[in-house]
Amino acid sequence: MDAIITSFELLGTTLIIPMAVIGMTWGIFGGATPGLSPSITMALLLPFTYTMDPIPALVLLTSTYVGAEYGGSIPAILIRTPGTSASAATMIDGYEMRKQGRAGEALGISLQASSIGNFVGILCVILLTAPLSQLALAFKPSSYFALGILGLSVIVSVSEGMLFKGIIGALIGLMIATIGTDPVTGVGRFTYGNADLLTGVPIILVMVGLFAVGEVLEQVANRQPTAHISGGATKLKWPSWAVQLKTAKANLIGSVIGIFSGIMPGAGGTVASFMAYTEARRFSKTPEEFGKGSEEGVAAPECANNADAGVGLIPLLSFGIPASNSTAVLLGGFLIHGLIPGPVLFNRDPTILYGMFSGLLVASLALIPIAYMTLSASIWLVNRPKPYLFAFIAALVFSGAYSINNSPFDLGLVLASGILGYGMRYFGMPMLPTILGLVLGYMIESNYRRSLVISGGDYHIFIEDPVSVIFLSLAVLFLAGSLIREFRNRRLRPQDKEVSA
Amino acid sequence: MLVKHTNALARSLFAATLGLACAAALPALAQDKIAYPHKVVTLVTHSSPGGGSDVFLRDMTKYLKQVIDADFVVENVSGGSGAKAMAHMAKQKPDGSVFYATTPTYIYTSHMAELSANYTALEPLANFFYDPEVIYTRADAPFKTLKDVLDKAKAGRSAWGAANPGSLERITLEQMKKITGVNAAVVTSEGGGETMINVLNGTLDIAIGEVQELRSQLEGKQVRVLAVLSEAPLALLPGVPTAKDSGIDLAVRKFRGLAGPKGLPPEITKAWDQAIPKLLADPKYKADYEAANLVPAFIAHDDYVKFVDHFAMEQKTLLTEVGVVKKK
Amino acid sequence: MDRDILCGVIAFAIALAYLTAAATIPETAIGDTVGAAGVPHLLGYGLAIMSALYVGQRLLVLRAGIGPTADEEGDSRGVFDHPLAAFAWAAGAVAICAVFIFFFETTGYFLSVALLIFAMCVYQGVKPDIRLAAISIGGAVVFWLIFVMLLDVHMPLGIWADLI
Repeated sequence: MDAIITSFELLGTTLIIPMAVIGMTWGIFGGATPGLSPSITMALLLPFTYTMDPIPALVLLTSTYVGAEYGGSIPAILIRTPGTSASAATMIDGYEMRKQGRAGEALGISLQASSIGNFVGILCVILLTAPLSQLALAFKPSSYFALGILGLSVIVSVSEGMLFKGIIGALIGLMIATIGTDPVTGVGRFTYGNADLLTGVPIILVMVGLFAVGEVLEQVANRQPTAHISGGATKLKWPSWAVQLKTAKANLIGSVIGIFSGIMPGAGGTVASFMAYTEARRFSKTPEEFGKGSEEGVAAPECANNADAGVGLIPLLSFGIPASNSTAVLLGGFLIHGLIPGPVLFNRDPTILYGMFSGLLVASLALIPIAYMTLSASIWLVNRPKPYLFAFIAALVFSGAYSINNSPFDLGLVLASGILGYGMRYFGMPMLPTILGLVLGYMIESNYRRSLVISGGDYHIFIEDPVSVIFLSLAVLFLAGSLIREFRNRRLRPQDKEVSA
Repeated sequence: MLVKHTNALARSLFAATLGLACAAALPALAQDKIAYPHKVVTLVTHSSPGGGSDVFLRDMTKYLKQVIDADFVVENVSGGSGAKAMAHMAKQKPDGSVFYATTPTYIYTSHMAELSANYTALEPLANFFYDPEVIYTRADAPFKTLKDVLDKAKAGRSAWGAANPGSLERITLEQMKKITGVNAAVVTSEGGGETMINVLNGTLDIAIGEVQELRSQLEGKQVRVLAVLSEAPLALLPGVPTAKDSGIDLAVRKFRGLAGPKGLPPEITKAWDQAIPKLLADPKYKADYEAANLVPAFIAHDDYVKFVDHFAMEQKTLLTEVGVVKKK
Repeated sequence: MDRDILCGVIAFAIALAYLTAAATIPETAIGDTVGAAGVPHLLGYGLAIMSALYVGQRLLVLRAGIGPTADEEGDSRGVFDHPLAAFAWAAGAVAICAVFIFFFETTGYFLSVALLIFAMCVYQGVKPDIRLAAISIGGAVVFWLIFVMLLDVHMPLGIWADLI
């Protein structure tokens, strides 16, 4: 109870509310700009926090963090350009909805899902930091490997009817993930002395290329006078009760996945949002709508991503371990003020944490009105005539890509990924397996090999770790289930398209 | 790969954000500044804004401009673990207007990858600090000394953690294996965070890391430092022996200095040789860098060139021995 | 050729190229039992086998005459009704972007972005008049404000660096 009273007192006496609003607005803006990751958006604010009191400073940074995770979905839905890599999952169905003229609705669903995810995440941080932090310790390299395999197992079900193409796509994604410094020996793989490739191919660049540049190429090359792609309503549309009911399960799945991945350092929001997308599809009553503008497909990843962001504070607050770039910047924010997050801070300076928590709550409340104010303008922008829209998207995408590393090489990478994306469209290959391979490839390979280093090459390590056993069995179950469904469909309708798989 | 980037940045941020800790406003010191031929000096770092070396440099420039009569700006040339910064530096004029903030990373990157410009294109200017490295274990581990760990490794298997695959830390553990003749698996991860979790949950018996990466866990009494990998014990960690005290002839010198393009004029190097001891003696800066767990280690230009050269050759030999670098 | 078979053949070619490149990955003594080249080899052979199987399966399906061919299925959106024409137009857009990237650091951010917007619009059939020029320059101003002024990104100044 004391905690709650203290928090309310702090709300009135310190600059929590204005800082939360400023941070949120800045975060949405940064997240919505392709190329600006949430961590950079936060790092840009760091210098300003030097002179502030610790509580407003931390509230500013954490609100930015929360806002940026939401902001990434705006360009994902509107112009098929993920603002952050985690928002690429939201894009799959979000952009389909926009093409159907339901942009306002898609933005409303993503906003609601983000708010739910935020609240769930922050509540977990406030209530469960101590108990949940123990879970993080249960994750060994073998567990991360198994988690990645579970993520890959959905490829079979998302490429229904074109299993071969799905697997080929996934393998290409995994191959791109092997470029860069080898995670165990440290030698360069496929780098050819190119400095830009040493740290690997940035996922966000490939995603932006595959989707945004691929889309630009397709639209530019399509000379037939097409119907004007309309974003539909020029206003944000809060989801109706029926839609809310429909997305409730997706939000639940998203929250649960977000919580789990948030606690474990190393999984990250991108993995969480893609897993939420595929799990929501797995448990949906209408899985066939996924990829064709499903409301659940927008809600689940968005909810997971935001819950993950909130819960991601737990490893930082309980162990002092930053699990992501963004929390590492936040750690910087703590250290500027001479505070070391970790077990001791909880006992010594609880006021600071309560201040931060109440700021986070204010920020997630402020998300909805702030989004209402900014989104209508964004929708108007993307309803401009097609040639201008795609010319500006190209300029935006390349500007964003350049700002990551200040490297023209990255621009070439984006363009090359765009050509790959265009080719995949021509061959009718599903995008999701490739993206999953790209997102999970590094986690799977590095932890697979780390586990074997620990065990001295003994594969028993994967069945001795209970977490790994659970994930691997789930993967096998899902795999078997989808394969059975695939073959049953094929037998029932032999003349169907499924044959081509 | 995202995860890779995430952790690389996380680690660098984690490693040295402490430099920010006491960044208070400074009163102008009424002392004679050392004359310098350039009005503005650019300090290049391969770390991103807010990252380890970046924070360290921005903090240092505030004090540096009180010592040297010039303004200092920090430029981030990130990417490729220093490879891009080296390529950038190789194109600059060696007139003392631009320097690169170096750590052993740039030597390692030069050895591990074929680059258009590597460390040999640069001339070390002078050294400022060492980052002390320690070996630690979880607080409730059965090991009380480094010897206990080595005994376990001799008897069967032991797993040791280091943050990056191609790094000074990793090679140091490989060296320790060689010196002691024990069998241990050296497990690398892309960030200090994952290594720490695996030490805490017992997957790894010990790990190597910088003191400042462990601040939170040390304060929370979750980890215990078994040995310091420096020549002398650290004031911050009273009672912790060095590896040498424990009978293992191993010390790490993780240096932090500056380097310029090849062919620095003598008046420039002299100015810095004069400036650095003054800088390190500044009591305000001293409080700052001590809070960041940096050990002052001034090495003047002439010695530093030899020092870095020796370090680079030594590491190359080690890397060749373990087969990461091909013999030529 | 059937579109799916072509897809399989290209994937097979990618697998071969990848395996050739993977053969140059150096082996080290401090590695693990899998080695730096282990997973790449697995992926390369996996892709080669999968794409070969796919081509085989498609050939069987075509010969047996069951099911529609990929070409007959067509594309519901009609985007690839005339694939060669579409490729040619896409190649043009790629060329514009490639030129933009190539001269990006020389021309400087502002001018190259304005030119990119202008060129992409003209390529899509917008009349190259004063209005479009104004829109392109206006767009570049907005991008400049966002990325350079607000976000402090070091965009290249290019040949204009000396003038400023």
